[in-house]
Amino acid sequence: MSMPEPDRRMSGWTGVGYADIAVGQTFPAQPLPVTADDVARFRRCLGEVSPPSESGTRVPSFLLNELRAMKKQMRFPPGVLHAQEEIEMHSAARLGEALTVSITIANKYIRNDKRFIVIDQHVECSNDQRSIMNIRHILYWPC
Amino acid sequence: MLNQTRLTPGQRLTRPGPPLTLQAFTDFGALLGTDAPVHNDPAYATKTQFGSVIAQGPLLLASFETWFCELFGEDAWSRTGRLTAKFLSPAGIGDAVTLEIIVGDAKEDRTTFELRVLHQDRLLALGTAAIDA
Repeated sequence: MSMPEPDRRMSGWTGVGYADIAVGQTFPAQPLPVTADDVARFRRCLGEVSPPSESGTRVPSFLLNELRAMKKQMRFPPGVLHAQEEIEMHSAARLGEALTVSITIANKYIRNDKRFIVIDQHVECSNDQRSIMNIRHILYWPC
Repeated sequence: MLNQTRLTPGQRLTRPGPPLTLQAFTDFGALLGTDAPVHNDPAYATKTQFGSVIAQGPLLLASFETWFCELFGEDAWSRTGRLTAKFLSPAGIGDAVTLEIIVGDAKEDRTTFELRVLHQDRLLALGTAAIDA
């Protein structure tokens, strides 16, 4: 399969290119800290009004559906966009629990002349090794 | 609380999605690491193919979680919720977003749904969900 032309319609910095991404690469579990202020800010983004969060409040799963941990491991090129998201819940995360996220580059492929990277993340409570959720990001990768 | 027993296959539910503001894009990006300038820098975004800042895809989906928790309870969502969605079209500041759930099959304890995110007639995201309740 021929490699599509790089999509450089967005620019401003450089990042890891499609060719340099290794399928199967894993990254060690990283802390995934969440505070009550984070939950409140997240709720405001959704236009939701909720009582102040306290220890034990359920952490919204979409607040854990994040890319900060991945970006600490790999610089994204400009123009990366979400193409698809998948989440699979296993148990509730609670404020005050120590959470970790482990990351795997699950796949990469070219479809319709566009590059895609598949990133799997697993969120776990490190207090009791309880599985919180699995996340799959499919990202459009421009170059 | 509305629960599974009141839902019937083919039933369509709608509600407004999140208000799309630059502040929401900026805060959401800071929280989740989805902070590329196409989401929060209007001057940068004018030079992109979109012409203006666009919402993060997951911001368009996140309110479905709140909705499912209201319908089935936080515990059911947190133990058994599944959601998959593809992003089809970008949304910008001020776009009025509508979330739509269409009830699918309910077999044993598991109910499936089709999910849509729309701005007027334009489909922004399309997905599926499932939950045990």
